[in-house]
Amino acid sequence: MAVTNRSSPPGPEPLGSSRLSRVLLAVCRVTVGLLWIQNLSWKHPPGFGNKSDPPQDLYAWTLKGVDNEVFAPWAWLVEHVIIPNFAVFAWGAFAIEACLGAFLLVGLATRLWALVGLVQTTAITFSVLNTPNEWFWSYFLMYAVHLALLATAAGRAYGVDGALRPLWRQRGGRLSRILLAAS
Amino acid sequence: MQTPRSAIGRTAAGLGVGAAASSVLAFADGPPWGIVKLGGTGTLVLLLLAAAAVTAGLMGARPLIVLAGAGFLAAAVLQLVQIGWTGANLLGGDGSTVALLLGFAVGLLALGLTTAPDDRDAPTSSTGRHDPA
Repeated sequence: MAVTNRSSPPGPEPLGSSRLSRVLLAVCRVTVGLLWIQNLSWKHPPGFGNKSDPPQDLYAWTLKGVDNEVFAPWAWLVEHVIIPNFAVFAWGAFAIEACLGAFLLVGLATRLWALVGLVQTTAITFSVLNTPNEWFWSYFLMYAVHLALLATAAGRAYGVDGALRPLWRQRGGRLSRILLAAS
Repeated sequence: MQTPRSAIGRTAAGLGVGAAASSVLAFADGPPWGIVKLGGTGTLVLLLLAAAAVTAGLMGARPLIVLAGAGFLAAAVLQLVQIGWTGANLLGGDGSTVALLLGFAVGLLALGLTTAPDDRDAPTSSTGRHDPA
């Protein structure tokens, strides 16, 4: 009687999990965190350049979404909603970017903040992609790196997520499930 | 086998080392190498809080880790309030300083406030090597 040897086809190889890979991933995550942190230096609360003439600070960059239109609905939103209520949106952007930098720096809820980074990158891209002398690859690279942080769950490599995920998994409950999904 | 408590302590100490190392980001004046703005007082505060975090992490004392995190949070709030409203600037920082301090605050507070299960039920490593998605 013939015996058929049915070996299962090889599955996809796991992503690199060596110590070097994890160190490099942590370096990538920290660098992105520092990107967001450093870009808060030129945003000056409480006014953020609101109604300045000539336009300055975050106000100037926000106006570029109207002056150098990238996406018509976004330009409309900036002109008719954001600029008239600039203080609210400026503080909101400041808070979001501070949290982006903070959470990616230490690797906490990293997948969630990678998603937020993609959304914030979209807002920035819609504002400045067509601005003269802007290097469009900057914004494509921002998308790429946040996708990489999301895909690799980068906070698990030498981040707070890595230390806390075992505890969240043991504790169970809704909050733990949310934190596990976010990390 | 590495227990969750030792992983928490090691990570807290690592955050402390990272906080101390981040002081070099303020040496240069402006981009590209000046990533964070910090005055002399701000640098001193950062280094003191970093030392507290390292000490707390090495001791594995979660209340001390929480205390260090609270210290970073207080510094972040102080910086934000001063640049946003009062016009003073004790730490000599700006928005980047707020975010930097906030990062170490949330990391240490998360580590210190997450209660550990009994160590007899401890799982394995903190580095995520075999962590399922």
